[in-house]
Amino acid sequence: MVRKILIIASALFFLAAPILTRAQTTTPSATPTPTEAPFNFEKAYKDYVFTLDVYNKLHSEYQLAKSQYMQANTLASNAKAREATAAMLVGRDDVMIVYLGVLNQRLVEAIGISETTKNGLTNRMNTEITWYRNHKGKISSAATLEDLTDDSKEAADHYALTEPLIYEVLASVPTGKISDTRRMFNDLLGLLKQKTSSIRLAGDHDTTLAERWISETENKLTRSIDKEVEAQTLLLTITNSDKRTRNVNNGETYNQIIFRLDESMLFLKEASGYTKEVLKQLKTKN
Amino acid sequence: MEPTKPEPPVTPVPVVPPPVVESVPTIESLPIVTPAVAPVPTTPEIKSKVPFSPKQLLDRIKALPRKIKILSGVAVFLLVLVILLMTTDPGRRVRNTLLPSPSPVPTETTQLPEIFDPSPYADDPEIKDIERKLSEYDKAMNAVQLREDTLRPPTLDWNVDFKKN
Repeated sequence: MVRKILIIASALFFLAAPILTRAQTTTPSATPTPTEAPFNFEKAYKDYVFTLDVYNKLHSEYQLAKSQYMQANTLASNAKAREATAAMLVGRDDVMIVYLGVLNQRLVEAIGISETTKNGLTNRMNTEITWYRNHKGKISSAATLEDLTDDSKEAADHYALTEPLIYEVLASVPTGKISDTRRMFNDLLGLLKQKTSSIRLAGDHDTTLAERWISETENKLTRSIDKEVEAQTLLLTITNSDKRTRNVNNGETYNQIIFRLDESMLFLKEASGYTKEVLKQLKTKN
Repeated sequence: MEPTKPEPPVTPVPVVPPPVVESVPTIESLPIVTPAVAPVPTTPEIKSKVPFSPKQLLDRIKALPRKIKILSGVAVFLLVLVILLMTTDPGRRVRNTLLPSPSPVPTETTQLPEIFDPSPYADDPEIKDIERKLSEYDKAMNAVQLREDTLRPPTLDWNVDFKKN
């Protein structure tokens, strides 16, 4: 009897052993360690969209509380309005903080912008982020609706300084793209000019027409640069601290900048088409 | 005494023979002909001649099992939905969004070979390399998006003022 029990127990042990060992080895890998997603522009943008949604909700509540306070003008409605306004102001500051963070991230990932420019803009934006953080921390100490009005006005006045910086960053990113595209094209054109001159020196192929096309390409390139300079001049009207030009509509100026940059890009495309003509001339017998 | 006038001679009147009357057959003499009777279609028997009443129909529907009721309800709903989708203008719009029409498949056009008299540099590796780089550059350039509208500043309410009132 005892022998039978021992046999059954040992059989069960041998059967269960591999399962147990597998369970031990698989357990750690069964729960994957959470890999933290890198903080990039995509993630920052998602955060921004979420924060903006929260703000919109808080703003609706603020509007409701405000209208109730305006109608009833009771102590209860006053308290409710104060609470809703404070929450909305905090949400507004949050949106600004996250939005500036998104721009910062966009700037970090941007191409064609010099490190000096990037650092300068990033530092200025960090200063702005700090300002909105401090302002946000101050809101909770407001005791009355009048205090909150003052707090809001302070932020509104400060936004007038933040907005030009925002548009400066927004305009710098596409300008960088144009610069990068032109740099790539210049490299190609340099190679093509080098090859053309080597063919001319070899003397076995007439390169006159090809050189004429190269000259036309360079003209287009110059026009592209001109348009970019126009865009940069417009950008100066945004960044200019002169009070006389402070009244410019930054959004409108930004649109004009983009328009100039689009023109600059068109010239680059035409220049690219001309280089194909250069290649054609080099490949075709005269 | 007046002399008597002699009577005119009497012209003999022709004797018209009496008309020959054909012998008319009497009814009794006619043979009895029995007409062939066309076969009359037999009508099915009407089992019940109770008049239709909506109340009875409602009762019958009520008596149906619940599953059948639900199924028939769903079928009617779908039918109405399909009719609405087919007939109404908003329905057509919804249908177009639900059932996207396949976009036309671009057909490949065979590129005609460029006819040119090749120079000694037509197959030059450096020129080929420049061509390849230029093609890559074109792709990169066409992918550039200058405008980033999603990054425009958010629309926020900066006019919070309780002092006016």
